Amino acid sequence: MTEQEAKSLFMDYLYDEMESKEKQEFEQFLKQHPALAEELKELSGTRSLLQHVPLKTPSHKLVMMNPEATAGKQWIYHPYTRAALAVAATFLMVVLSFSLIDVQFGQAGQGFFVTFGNQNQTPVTTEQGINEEEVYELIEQIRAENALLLASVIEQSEEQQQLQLEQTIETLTDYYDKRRQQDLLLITEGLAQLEEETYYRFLQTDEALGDLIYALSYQQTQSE
Amino acid sequence: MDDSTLVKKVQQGDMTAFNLLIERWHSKIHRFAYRFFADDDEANEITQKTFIKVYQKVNHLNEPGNFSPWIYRVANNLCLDELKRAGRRKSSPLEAWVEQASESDHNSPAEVLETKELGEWIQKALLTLPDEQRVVVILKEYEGLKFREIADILEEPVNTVKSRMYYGLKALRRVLKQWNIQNEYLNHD
Repeated sequence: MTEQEAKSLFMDYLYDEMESKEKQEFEQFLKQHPALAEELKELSGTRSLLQHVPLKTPSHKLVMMNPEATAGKQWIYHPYTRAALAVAATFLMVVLSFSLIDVQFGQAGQGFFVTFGNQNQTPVTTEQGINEEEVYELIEQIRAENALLLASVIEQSEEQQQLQLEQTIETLTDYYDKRRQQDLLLITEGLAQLEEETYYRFLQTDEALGDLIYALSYQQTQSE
Repeated sequence: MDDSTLVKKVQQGDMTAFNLLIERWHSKIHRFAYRFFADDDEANEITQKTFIKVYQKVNHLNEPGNFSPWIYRVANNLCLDELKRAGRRKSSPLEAWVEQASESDHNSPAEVLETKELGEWIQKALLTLPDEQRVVVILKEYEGLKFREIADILEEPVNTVKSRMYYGLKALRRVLKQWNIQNEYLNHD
């Protein structure tokens, strides 16, 4: 057995996937080759260290629902059904509330009335009237108030437009600034990825060479 | 009831059997994916996708007795797809970790062991391995499969699998040494 052939048996020995006779021969060989024994010991040490990784358990349970079992209840989840149920529930709540507070609607004298609570009390109404002069005064007052309101609305609208314009300009500036930063970031990431891929290809080349050497030595072992 | 029987029942449309399969394999697939990415969210996503894939494809499994290698293969392919999709960003190169380790003052080996962070560093070391070595190390070391079974899962020759394990262990040792994990721990029998 050569050293390369012995190395090809390292994994079988380390993971106890070797016949007992072969194992004895291998152990004999190791006694005569301390360097190989040392390498195997190192591999064994690394293996022991791997067991220090904490056990990770899933944070939640997975369950596959049976579509057939829930098929009969699908109508409940239909949007129209849910909307109808919501309207019915609201109506019931309103009726219940009205009955609790003794709401009563009616018509008396000059208009309608709504009462809560004790229904024995008659609604209080007051009679009030205005003459022609007061009507004109009222119209004038309303006109003046409307003019003021209109002016105020126009002023607010102008201010709002100005504010929107400023915000748009600011947003546009931010957008171009972020866009520029993103472009720079993309260039940096591209360079980093290129570097990473180059490294990975180096590793693949190393491994391919390793595989080749390993396979050749294993074939030699088998042929002998 | 073994996996094979459950798979046959699932193929006949028995959802209870499928839930039993999920219950039986959930932890294993999650653990496998977690070792692959060292990220709980990622592991949950891969686990979920694996079972969806299994549900969609289980009728095409001609030999229910081969369910174990088949489900690991599905999970492994999903992990590799995820890596491709993410542009290999989830697998950090060795230099990045070594640099990170050397920059970190409070992570000397003694402190690492004292604060029980060793496991996390080993998990990080696993991430530095090439994907094909990492999956072999995970399946062998954490799932306890035989080399022949791993070869079936990966559809590779047994010798290639052993070779990847050998180089994987060597690479891990090299990384851990670079991070100054003391020899006494590396040489522990």
